[in-house]
Amino acid sequence: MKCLLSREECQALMDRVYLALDGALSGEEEKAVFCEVEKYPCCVEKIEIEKKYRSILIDACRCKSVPDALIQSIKKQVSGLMDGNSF
Amino acid sequence: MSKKGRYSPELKDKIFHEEFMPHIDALYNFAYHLTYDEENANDLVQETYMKAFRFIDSYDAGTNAKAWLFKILKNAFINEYRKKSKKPTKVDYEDFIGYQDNEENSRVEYVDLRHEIFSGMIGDEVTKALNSLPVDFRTVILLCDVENFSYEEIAKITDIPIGTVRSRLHRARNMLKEKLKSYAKTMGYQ
Repeated sequence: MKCLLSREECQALMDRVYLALDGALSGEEEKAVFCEVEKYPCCVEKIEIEKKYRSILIDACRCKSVPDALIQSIKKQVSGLMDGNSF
Repeated sequence: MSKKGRYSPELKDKIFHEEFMPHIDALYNFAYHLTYDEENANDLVQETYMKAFRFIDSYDAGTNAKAWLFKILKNAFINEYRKKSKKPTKVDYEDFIGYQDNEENSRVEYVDLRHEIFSGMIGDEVTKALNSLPVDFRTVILLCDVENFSYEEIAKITDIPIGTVRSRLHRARNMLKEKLKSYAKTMGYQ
């Protein structure tokens, strides 16, 4: 899908989109960015792909469950420190 | 500034279990993706919590425990990495700051992905691509895209300016996406 914006305009818009996706904009600013994006279908598609990519990344990176033995070991050590009144 | 004796033992216990322990899963996953080794991740998380408890008086109860813990873990990782480096006098530019991190470099275009890339890709392939990135690039992606820290929080955790966080994120994302694209091409997903 050919972008209706020039390369520079598209990059500038995507800069703001990424700031919005990263939570770096205020609510008002975020709303304005996504309203702007709605005018350009190719940019809307890019955002959908970006959201899908991030969702896959999160699922892939949050795959490990902390071993229960580690949790117990930490709690035991802290409990030992508390009982020892080292602080 | 020393704040020793700030909390009673009961309050320390409460802070530890109610504010620190809930983040153990996130910390463990972060440690795993830094070290790519379960045993090292275990050690790193254990060390993080012991340090957190030892220095609990310097933590402001009810504030950002997650960011505080991640900073401890990141520093522990850096110290451990440097210790284990076979040539401590030689900087490994592949893993550390061998790139010109400044806002000017963020004017590189975005790498575009396509829907087809994800059609056959599985989690292992994504983590493989992520783990092949230099550690500083991997770190900002994990902190921002996975753990949703703000730029300010990432700057504090990693001790780099916010401008550098943004430019490094931009480069890291492009690098990761290029790896995913070339992997997808190899596997015939696009």
